[in-house]
Amino acid sequence: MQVIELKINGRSVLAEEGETILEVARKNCVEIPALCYLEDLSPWGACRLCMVELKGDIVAACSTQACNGMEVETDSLRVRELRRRIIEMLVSYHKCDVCKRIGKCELEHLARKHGIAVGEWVKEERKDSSSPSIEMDLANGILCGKCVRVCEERQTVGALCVGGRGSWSKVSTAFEMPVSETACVDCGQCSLECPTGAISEKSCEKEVEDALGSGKHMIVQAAPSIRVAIAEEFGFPPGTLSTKKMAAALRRMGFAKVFDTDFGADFTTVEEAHEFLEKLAQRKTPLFTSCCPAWVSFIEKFYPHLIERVSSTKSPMEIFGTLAKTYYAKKMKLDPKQIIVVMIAPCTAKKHEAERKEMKIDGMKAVDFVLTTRELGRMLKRRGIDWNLLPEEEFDSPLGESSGAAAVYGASGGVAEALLRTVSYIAGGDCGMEFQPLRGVNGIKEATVQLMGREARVVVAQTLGNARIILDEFLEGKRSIDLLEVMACPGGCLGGGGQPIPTNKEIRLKRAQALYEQDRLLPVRKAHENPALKRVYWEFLGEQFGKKSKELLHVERKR
Amino acid sequence: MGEKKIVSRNFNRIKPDSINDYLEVGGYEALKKARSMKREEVVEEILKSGLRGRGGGGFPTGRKWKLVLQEGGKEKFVIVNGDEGEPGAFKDREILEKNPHLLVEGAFIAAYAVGAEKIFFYIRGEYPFAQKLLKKAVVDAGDYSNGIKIEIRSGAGSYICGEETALLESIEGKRGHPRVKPPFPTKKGLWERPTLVNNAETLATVPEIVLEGGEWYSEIGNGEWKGTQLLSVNGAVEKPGVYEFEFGTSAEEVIETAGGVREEMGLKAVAPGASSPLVPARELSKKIEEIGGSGAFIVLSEEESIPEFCKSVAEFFFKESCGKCVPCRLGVMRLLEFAEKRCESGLNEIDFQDFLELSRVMEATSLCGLGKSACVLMKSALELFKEEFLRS
Repeated sequence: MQVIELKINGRSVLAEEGETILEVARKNCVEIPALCYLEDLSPWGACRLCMVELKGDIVAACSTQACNGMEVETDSLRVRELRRRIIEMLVSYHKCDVCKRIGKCELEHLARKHGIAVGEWVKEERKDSSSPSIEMDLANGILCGKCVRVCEERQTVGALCVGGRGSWSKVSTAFEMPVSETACVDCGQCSLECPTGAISEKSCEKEVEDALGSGKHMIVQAAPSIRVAIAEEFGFPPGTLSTKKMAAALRRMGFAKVFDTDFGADFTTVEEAHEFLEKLAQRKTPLFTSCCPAWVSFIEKFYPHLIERVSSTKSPMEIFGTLAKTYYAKKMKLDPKQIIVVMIAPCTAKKHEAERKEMKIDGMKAVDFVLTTRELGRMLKRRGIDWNLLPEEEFDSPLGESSGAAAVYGASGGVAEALLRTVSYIAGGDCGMEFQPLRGVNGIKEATVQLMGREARVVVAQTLGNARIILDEFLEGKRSIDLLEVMACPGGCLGGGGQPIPTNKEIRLKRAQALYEQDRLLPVRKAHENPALKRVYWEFLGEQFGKKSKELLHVERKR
Repeated sequence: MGEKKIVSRNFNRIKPDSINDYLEVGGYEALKKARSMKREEVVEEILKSGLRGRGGGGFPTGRKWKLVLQEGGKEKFVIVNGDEGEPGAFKDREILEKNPHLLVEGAFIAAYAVGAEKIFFYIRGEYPFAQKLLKKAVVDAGDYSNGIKIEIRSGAGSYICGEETALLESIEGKRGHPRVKPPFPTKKGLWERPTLVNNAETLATVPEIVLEGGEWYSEIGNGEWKGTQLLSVNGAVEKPGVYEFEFGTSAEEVIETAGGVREEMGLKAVAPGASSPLVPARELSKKIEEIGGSGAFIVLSEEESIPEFCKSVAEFFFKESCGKCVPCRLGVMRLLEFAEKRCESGLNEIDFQDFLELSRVMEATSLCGLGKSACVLMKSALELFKEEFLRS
């Protein structure tokens, strides 16, 4: 690697050979606007906002390599003028009045910064609300191509493409099919990376608000990764752990009981641990984790012959919903039909999971509504809840207690780690508490543990692109796997498609740190030691991985 | 200066579907000669000849070949760009329909010189007859292939796929979007392999250069521009068609060769396609290399309305922009608005200023040549024929 020296706006800076001007500028705190650039995706060079001046030449900073001795002007009169004109063009063909992204739209932000009024030039209506997870208003897209590349490159799903001709080019699906009929797996990464509101989560804020006034017994559960992200919606730094403020906020929204998805996660761990050991004993591994619904859809759509490898254990959200409408209803002497379970998820795919038929109990949805972190943020703001003034409160009992193993579910590698803590207990022996090789930002992580007298290989993948690499290697016989954990989103749920905007590498890292910190601080760190869990098995489910558990907490995976 | 036949020498003299006819006039001799030389020597001859790309860019052909040759022993490709889409240009079609073997031979020589194993012919979809002749020529020339594979791909009606990187995307089965450069195709082209993309006319010139030597070729032409150029002369002339001229020939001579302006009509301007500036009647002494463009030569008579012509050009770009980069996708929409406004109510000074601003932004910031040059024709029209655009 060679170090080179160049000048940006007259100031000398050092850079590594091969870096683009944009990368060097950002490292040196020189801001260059760019709407179509994302560090993990191929350069696209379409928005042309990152144009800079090189001794009279105008080049795109995102796709021009920095060279020794280069003199870059990022803010010359000419650059400013050109940039302004491009923003003007963009906003004059964009409508802002009916968008969920108010205040968080990159285009709006840019326009306001440059003092350009945002117009409302109404193009043809092209809303696609067919999907349970995401909503597209593609006429309002600016064709930065991030969604297309995220879907294709990061997730290898390729549900989106660019269609149409000339000035009428637009983001589209194959044959302009409704997105629900494409290969979309609902991960929502497109909605997370969209610089405008053209792709967003399919909102059910209104439905939840209506239900809150309906007199039904409203209970809420929040996923492990909400507590490390929700404060960002109120301007707090990423990774602010706010479990107790979150509980207080949810209570102030009018929920009768505020519970925790972590409680459900401990059941997932215990049931899946038994399942894993059974498979290991029968030499029927690998077992694939099942908590990420986008991953399950990915298997269904791209590797249907592998569906039986996916754990039959329900996800924490579904286990929670199931226990809420059975165990909790019975205990509280409530009619399950009068209970509404709302989930706060970092995820858009959970909206789809909640709709799945096999998740129903007695014809009822186990989870009635799924709100993403972003929707929750908006609802709280609408209700005038001031995060600063919130007190710290606890979750309610009995569905609010959980272990540290559940806390780490929110990070990539966390589910595997939680499983290993419990598996080693059930099988006898101890493989440890913290599994460093399974933590961190690498796309593919591996560890080997001693189990039942043999070596068990654990593989963890984040993003579906990496999952595809693992599956292909496995199918070619190049890789042996006993346990495979996949999270469709980078970083795991903490980088989920429904999380606050922006979500990037640094922010994901901080959220992960907060989750691991929470695990370390909890008195109970293994799922099977959760006293509330033991009570439910004792009072209601009976044996772990027994008849009733299998009936309620598992689903059949078949083609 | 004036008409000079090198590429078109055997047009209408031999049957295009007969390899024997081609062999009789010395066909495939250049290929034999090239293969008896070292690859580097062939490239050296092309460098010496001073041949430049005939697709509109004018990049020195020998330098391009050298870049691909230097890429070492990796898998390489040669692509013949026959996706002629410039409005008013049809000279590549003429080569394909009059002497397809010449093109096949040129492509074989190029493949040998740069060390490529496979040649793609990317031919405009609206040229079915040319494609049919080319297919036959490729089959008939099988004995000369020396193991080099050939595949013919048809374009599907998109102008942008004539841009070399969009063309690569198209062959790879993707939407025809231009790529971000660098890397250039010579380094990372088709499927990331070193790729030589040459215009059909460029390659059709190669056999003669190999036979007669680079030095011979470099003595033809004018200044930096060596050799000859095929022009598709059309519009208000008596004998429209494809003619070959030595560089240094004036526009006036071109029109004369094509039989002069039709039926005593006055001449208003010449349009070298849709993306180059207009040449007004008073500047007909301009040389063809100064006029530029990619082989189109549209003669506009005095009866022609320049604003209407600009509108048809704007409509063309509105449809043919690939839609990838913002200044082009939205800029051509604006361009069309200007052109339409003129035809409805005329333009005023503020419109002129706005238009110039638009053309500056598009020229400076567009991703590829389409956006950079979309305003060029109308800009020149506004300068030359301003009164026609004013509010009436």
